[in-house]
Amino acid sequence: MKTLRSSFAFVTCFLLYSLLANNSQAADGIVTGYDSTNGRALLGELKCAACHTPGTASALLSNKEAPNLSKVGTRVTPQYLRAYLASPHSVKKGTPMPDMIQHLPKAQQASVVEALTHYLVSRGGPLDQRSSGASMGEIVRGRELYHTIGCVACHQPFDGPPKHKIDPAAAARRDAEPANAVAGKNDTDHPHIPLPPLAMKTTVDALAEFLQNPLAVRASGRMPSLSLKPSESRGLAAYLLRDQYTEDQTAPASGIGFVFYEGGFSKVADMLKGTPKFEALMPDLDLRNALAKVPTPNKKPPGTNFSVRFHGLIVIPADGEYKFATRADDGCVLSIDGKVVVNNDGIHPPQNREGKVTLTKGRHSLEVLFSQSGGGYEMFVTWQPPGAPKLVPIPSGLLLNEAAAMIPKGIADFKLDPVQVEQGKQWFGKLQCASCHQTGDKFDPSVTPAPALLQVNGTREGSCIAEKVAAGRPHFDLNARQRRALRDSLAALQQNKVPNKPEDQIHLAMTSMNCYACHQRGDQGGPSIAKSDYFVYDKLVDLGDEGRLAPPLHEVGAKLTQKGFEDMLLRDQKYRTYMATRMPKFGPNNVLPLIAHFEKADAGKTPTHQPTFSPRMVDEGRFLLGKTALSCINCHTWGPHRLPGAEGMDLQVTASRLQPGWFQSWLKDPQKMRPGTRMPTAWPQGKTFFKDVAGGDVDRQIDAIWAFLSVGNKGGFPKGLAPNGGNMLEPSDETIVFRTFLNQVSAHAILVGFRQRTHMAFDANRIRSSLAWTGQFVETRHAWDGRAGQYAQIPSNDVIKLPEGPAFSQLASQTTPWPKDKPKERIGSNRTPEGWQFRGYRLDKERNPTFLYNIKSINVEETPSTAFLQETALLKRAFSLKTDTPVSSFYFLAADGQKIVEQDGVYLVDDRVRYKFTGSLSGKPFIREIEGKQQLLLPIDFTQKNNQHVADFSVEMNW
Amino acid sequence: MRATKLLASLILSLTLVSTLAIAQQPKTPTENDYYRMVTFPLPDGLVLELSGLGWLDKEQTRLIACTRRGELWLIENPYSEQPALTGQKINVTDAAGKTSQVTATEKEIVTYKQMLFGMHEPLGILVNPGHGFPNGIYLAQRTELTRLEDLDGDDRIDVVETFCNSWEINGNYHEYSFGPKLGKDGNLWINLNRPFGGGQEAQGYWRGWSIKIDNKGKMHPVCPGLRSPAGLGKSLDGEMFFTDNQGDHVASGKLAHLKPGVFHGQPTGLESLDHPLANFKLPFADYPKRGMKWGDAVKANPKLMAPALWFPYPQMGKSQTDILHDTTGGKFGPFAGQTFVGDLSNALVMRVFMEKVEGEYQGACFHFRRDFTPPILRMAWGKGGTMFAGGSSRGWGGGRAPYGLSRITWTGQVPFEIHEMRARPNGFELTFTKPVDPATAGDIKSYAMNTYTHLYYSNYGDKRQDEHPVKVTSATVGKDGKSVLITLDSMQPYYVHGLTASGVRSSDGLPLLHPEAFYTLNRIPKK
Repeated sequence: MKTLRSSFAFVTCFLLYSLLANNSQAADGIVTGYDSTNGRALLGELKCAACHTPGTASALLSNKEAPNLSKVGTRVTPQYLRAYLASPHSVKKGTPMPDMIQHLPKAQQASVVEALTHYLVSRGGPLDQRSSGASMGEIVRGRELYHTIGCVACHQPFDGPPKHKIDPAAAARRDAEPANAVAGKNDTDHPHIPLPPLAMKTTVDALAEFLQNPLAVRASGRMPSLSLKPSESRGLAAYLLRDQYTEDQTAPASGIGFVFYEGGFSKVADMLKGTPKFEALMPDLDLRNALAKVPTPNKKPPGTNFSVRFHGLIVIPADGEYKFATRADDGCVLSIDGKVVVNNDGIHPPQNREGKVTLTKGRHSLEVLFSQSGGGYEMFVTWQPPGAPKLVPIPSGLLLNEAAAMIPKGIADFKLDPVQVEQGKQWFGKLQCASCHQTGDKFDPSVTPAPALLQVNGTREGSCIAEKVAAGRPHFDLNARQRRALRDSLAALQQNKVPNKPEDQIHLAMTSMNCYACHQRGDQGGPSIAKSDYFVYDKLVDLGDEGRLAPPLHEVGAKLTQKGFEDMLLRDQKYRTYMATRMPKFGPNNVLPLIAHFEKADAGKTPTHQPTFSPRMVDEGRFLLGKTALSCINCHTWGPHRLPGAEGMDLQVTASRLQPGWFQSWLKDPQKMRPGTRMPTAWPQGKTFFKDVAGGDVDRQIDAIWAFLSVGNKGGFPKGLAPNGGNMLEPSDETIVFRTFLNQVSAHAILVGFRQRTHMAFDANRIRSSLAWTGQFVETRHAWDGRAGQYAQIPSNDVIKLPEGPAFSQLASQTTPWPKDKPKERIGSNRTPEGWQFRGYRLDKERNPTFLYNIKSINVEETPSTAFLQETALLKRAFSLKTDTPVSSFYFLAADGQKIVEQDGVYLVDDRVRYKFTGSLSGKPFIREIEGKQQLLLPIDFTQKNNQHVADFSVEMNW
Repeated sequence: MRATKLLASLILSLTLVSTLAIAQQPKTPTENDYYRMVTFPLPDGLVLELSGLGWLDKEQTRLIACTRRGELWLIENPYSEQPALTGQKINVTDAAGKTSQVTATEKEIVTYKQMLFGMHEPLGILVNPGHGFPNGIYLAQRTELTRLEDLDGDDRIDVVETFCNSWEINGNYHEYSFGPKLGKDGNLWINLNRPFGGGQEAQGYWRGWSIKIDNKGKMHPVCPGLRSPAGLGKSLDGEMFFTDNQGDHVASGKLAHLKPGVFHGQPTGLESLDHPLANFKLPFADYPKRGMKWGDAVKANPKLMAPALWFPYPQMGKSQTDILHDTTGGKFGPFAGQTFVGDLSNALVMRVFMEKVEGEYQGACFHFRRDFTPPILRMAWGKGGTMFAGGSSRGWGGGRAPYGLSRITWTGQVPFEIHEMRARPNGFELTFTKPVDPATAGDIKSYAMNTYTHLYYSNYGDKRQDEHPVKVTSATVGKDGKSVLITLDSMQPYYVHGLTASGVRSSDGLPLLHPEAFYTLNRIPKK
């Protein structure tokens, strides 16, 4: 509570500031985006073509949609509609909506406004203005979001940038060299995109819903989506409507209060004597989830000696007797309306307690106290409403916190009058509102025919863009510069002189969508000095201005791939994870055409390049990126893995995001492309420090890096980067040999994980290689979590099963059936073939194993290995057999399946896996059909060598 | 659940500051005054779920530890006064007694190197056992006894040899292999935990057995009836003993003699008696299903082996582990020849005194050192009578930290303890580590005794049965001034006799550091 109070005082201060600031908003007529005097943009923004048929000019104008009013009643209050319709330009200075009733007599104006208001409210309304609320915590969260994620790139800031997110070093640098850092423009060049008086206009719930998906209302992306989480939308809405905040703590908000205390107590209530260490709202009573949010020095959830308090409201759905239960280790006390319902207090192992209470429908206060002293801990809260069959967790939607009611300004009783609604609908059509807005009703499109756009006389007196607009015409709030720009553009259109190269299209789009507010392209755009301070790090990283400012788009069409563009423009994919500002989503219809324009406009800005590729280069690239060469991983992350402190862009996405030509230019001379960048060149004066890699040739080394990056994680980890975190064992520099219980194999499985992401499992019980798979290696959870000792599952769908039965056998003839695996009599049966013995394995320097086993008198060494292949996977099994006494009629079973076909010494099994034999083979592999299956056999002919009989061969499996 | 324990450790760590100050005050001594404890710091990301300890070199300077995660670690500089990691601060106290912090130097820095990864939950290490075994590091994985070798001396294992895999395994989490330990017969002994859940029947051979492996890798079954035998080790007369964990058929934690051909009570392993390797049969095919006092059960089933010692649950631990015979010859204090037993849940090390009565072993357990930071699963002797102890309690809980390594050393001060407790025809003879105060030691009011027994049945654990006080009728101080003979008004075989000697003082006025002793009196000596 303490923290909330103090932040309230703080918020009050800046509320005052914001009131003053609102009045000082620049008055620049219509505000459309980056350049509000761009006539061509204005023609689109003002939707001139809605009344004036554009004809062939249509393709040259941006097609701005007016807000869709089909559900306007669900989000806008009657009092706002009334005020706004009466005087749009004074209520929302800068709005592109024209005043359509100015020409009516004053007395009639009021009744028309009233009728229109009723009509618009009837679109889903009226809105329940008394049901919303928010906590001060949400407002404070919203304030930070508003000033960091990019809202203020377009809209007016009400507060300074969050100080804790500003890197003082970066700020100092910016002061020293502003020209490099930002475009160096003054705020007054580009007025803020206006906000209406929101506190009067809507409620927290309605605004939050709008912010979740602004494109649903404004389809052309005038207000883009910022990929907000629901809690963020609520926070932003609460902040934008902060004038509605009162201290009346009566309206609930979702999420239950959570307070964390240090120390364990034998009586849980003793925690309340301490000082809270952490407070937050939680969706439900899940203790583990809540603890995961508690900041701790080692970033691990606390394990011993802590206490927590959940507090808030529970919504009881119906009158009746409710059972509540807790299972807790240690103490836990649940109270409703201040009375203890479940007493599970004290220090004890997990124990269940329950209690019953009769409750009336509606909200009741709820408090759950829990304390953990030592050993294990758990807390589960369940309930059983009347008539329910069993105890279940309390649904999160029924848990609320005590928050303040937030009620729109100017609220008054409003009752929809059907007569007024009908009249309003008439006026909506008559005033041509329907030319721009949709309401779900149909209107006659040709109420008052206007001349076609290419015939409009822009200089005629009384026209919509004249200084004095004639009665009955739409009244825009244009200033002289804008009127001139509109006239000029109109003339150019009519004379077919509008430049329309890709660059012009880009300029038009970047102007009207205000891309220039963040991005530079050529000499246009970039944030003003004052606004650049709001571009901050999400976490403090030492990346200079590159870590906080949006990247310039000078040659973006030569830089990004189609996927790179789409990730940025359409998906919630964040590559610059360190930037607080988000890339807004303007909707596919509005941005997809831009990609082609960029590609055309920027073609050739960096030389195109087709990199050479060979499997060997993958490993060279792996080395070059690694710790012992160029050390790219010192700054860049590799998927979820990183060296301590590395925050730079993820290298794993490079090849899917960037064009190889741009990448080559960038690597060769980063300073030239982005003066002041932190990215160093790895080849000063075009020379390499690693002369024996890729022939010491710079271009080849860059291609090698590209080769490694282009194969995703199939090339392994950059050298020297150890995998971190997660449950997955990730082979990096060395091969991983891991013994565990493995499903489909046995309790004696030995798994071998290669960094090339082809893996295999050997069964030390049946003494044979059993499985091969690609992709992820294996999880540790089954072996390392809790008591563990569970069977692991292979985390891949691409699994090859090696044939059943021993890998080697003597056969009386080539038609003798292959022996079967020893049957499994009991779960734990020993299934080692008679006379066979597993002897373990040797590890080489890179920890590659060679399995050792005896088949009677024969000593077998089996070495699995793999190699990088671009499209396919490879498992090679190298065998070395030795025996003192000669063995005849001895065969190796390489594969079996439904269909085996040979071509040029390659055996294709079931149209999937290709087998190839290498080594000193005297016998020839053959396919035989037996017991309804095809088998691929290799006769093993031993050769004599130093009094021993030996056979060495390999089988390669390729799929 | 352990708030008080944390407080205790806080006090302990405060007392670390200076023993000199304590000696000057008439304060009750604590364990730390006699046995100093140090816990090893671990680098970020090293989850040292310690499950085995050994020495890479003969000189015992390079400590190795295996973990439940299957790693083998080399720990260098294990005798560091204040073990620290590179860059860590340590405390130094100057001549004036002022403590300040300085960055650790090579003298203090402990390093960890991974020698091997990927073993299947190994639970013990033995290095170079001799007796015809090829040299190497032996460890018991779930599936096999493995011999490891570093061929090129780079402290990384190059050979992982399957030395013996003759036992079966179903793939159940409870199927642990504890060991190996070297028996006096020159074989490597291993205890095989039996599977848990999904029926009592063994589905793989030799689960629930103690087995031994000769230097050719051949397995020899010793005896069945083990449940969760986490501890294995030589003790009195070099005989092999094991500890078992409370559960079905195991009334309470226990220490028992691994005598070939006997049955320890948990029936899972009986299924393996039909295997050709089982070179003996037990005279019964079944086991008592209904509760029966242990004294009666062993009479009915002569091959049923009563434990040499019950560990009273929970004050003497809840899950006993390793067995470490004191072979330090006095370098670790006055308990040479006795045995230490670890406990996982309570993170402590107990002391056990045993004697042979009528051909079978029995004896008493005492508290020795409590409040370890890690749970205690494994213990090992280092140079000069240093004890290394640590473990992992993952899945079961215990210890202030879930895993880790500690070290304890004797300060040279002799604690006032009951040194030995021997059964006599009418009572017990107690010898103390220091001369006693004849007035208090000769006073029967200084002693209280209480006795109970357990049932043998399939239930999970057993409460104390027939628990009642026993009257101490006399207390006679011996001529040596260090021993006392107490007589009792009654003594029952197969009953645990719990003594509390709170009133006894040493000749210099100290109370006993640990006044409790629990003697499992299977047999009452005739003389």
